[in-house]
Amino acid sequence: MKKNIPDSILDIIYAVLNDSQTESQEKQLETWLNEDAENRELFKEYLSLHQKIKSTRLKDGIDRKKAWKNIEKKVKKHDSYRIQFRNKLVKYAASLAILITLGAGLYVLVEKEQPPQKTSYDELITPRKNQALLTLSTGEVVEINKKIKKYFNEPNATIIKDDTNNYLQYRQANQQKQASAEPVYNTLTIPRSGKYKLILSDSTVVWLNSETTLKYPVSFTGKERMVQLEGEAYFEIAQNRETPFIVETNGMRIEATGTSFNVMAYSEDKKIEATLVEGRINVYTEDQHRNVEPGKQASFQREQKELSINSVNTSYYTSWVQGVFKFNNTRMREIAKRLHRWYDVNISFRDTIAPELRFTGVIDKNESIEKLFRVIEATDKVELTVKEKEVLVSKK
Amino acid sequence: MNQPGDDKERVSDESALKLCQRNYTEGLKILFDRYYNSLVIFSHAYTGRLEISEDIVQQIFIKFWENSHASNIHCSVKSFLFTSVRNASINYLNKNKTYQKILQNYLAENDIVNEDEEAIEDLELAKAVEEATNKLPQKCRQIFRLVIFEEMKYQEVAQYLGISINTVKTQLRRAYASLRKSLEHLLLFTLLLFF
Repeated sequence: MKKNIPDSILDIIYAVLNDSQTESQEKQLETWLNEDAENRELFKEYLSLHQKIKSTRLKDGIDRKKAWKNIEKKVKKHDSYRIQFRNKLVKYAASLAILITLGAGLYVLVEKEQPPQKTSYDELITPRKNQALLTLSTGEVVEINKKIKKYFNEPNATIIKDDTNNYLQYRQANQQKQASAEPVYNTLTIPRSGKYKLILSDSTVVWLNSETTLKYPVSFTGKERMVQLEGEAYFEIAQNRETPFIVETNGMRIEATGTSFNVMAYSEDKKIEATLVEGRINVYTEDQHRNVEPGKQASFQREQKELSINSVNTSYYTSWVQGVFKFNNTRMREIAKRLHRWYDVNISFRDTIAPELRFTGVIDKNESIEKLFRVIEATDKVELTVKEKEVLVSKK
Repeated sequence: MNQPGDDKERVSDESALKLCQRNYTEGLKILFDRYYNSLVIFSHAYTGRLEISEDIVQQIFIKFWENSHASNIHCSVKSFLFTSVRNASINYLNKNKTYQKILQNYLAENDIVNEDEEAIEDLELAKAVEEATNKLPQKCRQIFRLVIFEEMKYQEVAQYLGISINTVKTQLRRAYASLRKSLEHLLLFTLLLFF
């Protein structure tokens, strides 16, 4: 242990820390500090100890809410176009309302019955289900619905449409031909609000979520089974150890032999996620490779090119397959993204806090958005203003 | 201190800066949430006054926002924030002679706190300090708390408790000696890393 500070000096140090020292004490301390380096080290140690002790209590005294308000007020004038644009719209609407008031009493009554601030569900937004656009190898685009024919022929494969259970199934036509044949590709595109199921020629089952495109060969020929995904899909890979199944996304490649996993790779998102339910997958990025075990999620940050593996509750990532939204402490902005894709609504935020608020809950995806909004509003954290397909979220 | 699963939720500082550059206050809010407390505590080591430090840090966030628009931030976001806060705090000391000259001179050349948010936010430290203070004899603990946490002057404490100033001094000495011993492991760690 180091030498001790003499009591007289200690008293001065405490006084200094407490801002109650006299001038002569200050001089005394200065002299002592200048005496030798060890004294200075001891002084530093005391300052550090004091600061550490104080820091544990300082946090309680910090008023973060007020602090952020102060900052926000100053920076808001810079935050020009979005908020101001909205304000202008409101102002414009207000002056329009005044004009109408002057013009005709009848309109005012109508207006009064539906105050614009209150949540109104003018157009009940209910998701349409099971929609898909199929691009055949000829380049022909077919909208999949009950009205069109039930079978399509592609080189080496037949496509069967099942209207009862809503899926497309690929059947390999001729086993002998396949080895030499050039692969022929189809593309299935799911628009916003849609969801569709696909059974590939190897019996692999793929559920495609809204705003998703999958490109795949009508029959698998080479040494690997390769598909290209943009958007979100859940895969149940038919087991085949010799020919690995590969999901190619813009930034990450997922390789499996027989497993179930979910891949989320929307091009507008910053990250790609592969969530493994069972089996085993390998993920590859430009320069990294990781092995993923069941219950884990590989997450790739596109910008930073960071690949990480985390333990997750997989049901939150696959719940859409069963037709439910499952949110677990999920940020409002993440929820907004999902709702935008499924209900085809545009969600914007009035303030900066609302998108960071977190929600937990489960809701049937076939419910109207109205019900979902009521549930979210019931938390009393946010207020939703709905006007046709525009939803404005503000903090309560 | 990272929880598994934290990574995927965490927006990097660089992404937050990009948001600021595109005029999204969300980016600034992310950095505020991440660094405000640490920066205030960091600044407090220099100014010794919480409200002054809060002011300084708020100004720095506004400065950061403006600079981000002019793309004037060339180092990491974290270094920018901490360096700016440090300079502003030292500036404050130079302008205001309210706090002691000795500390002033000292602090200007020695950082007694580190910039590492985790070290400052360290719950373990808070727990250790709490435990160490609780180990003090009752009277000693009371005096220590009044002086250090309530920032009462010796004279005020003496009056408040009806004891002599000398008793206050003796008890405080005792408290520090005991705390220094209890927290030695934490201090050593800090000294090794940051001096």
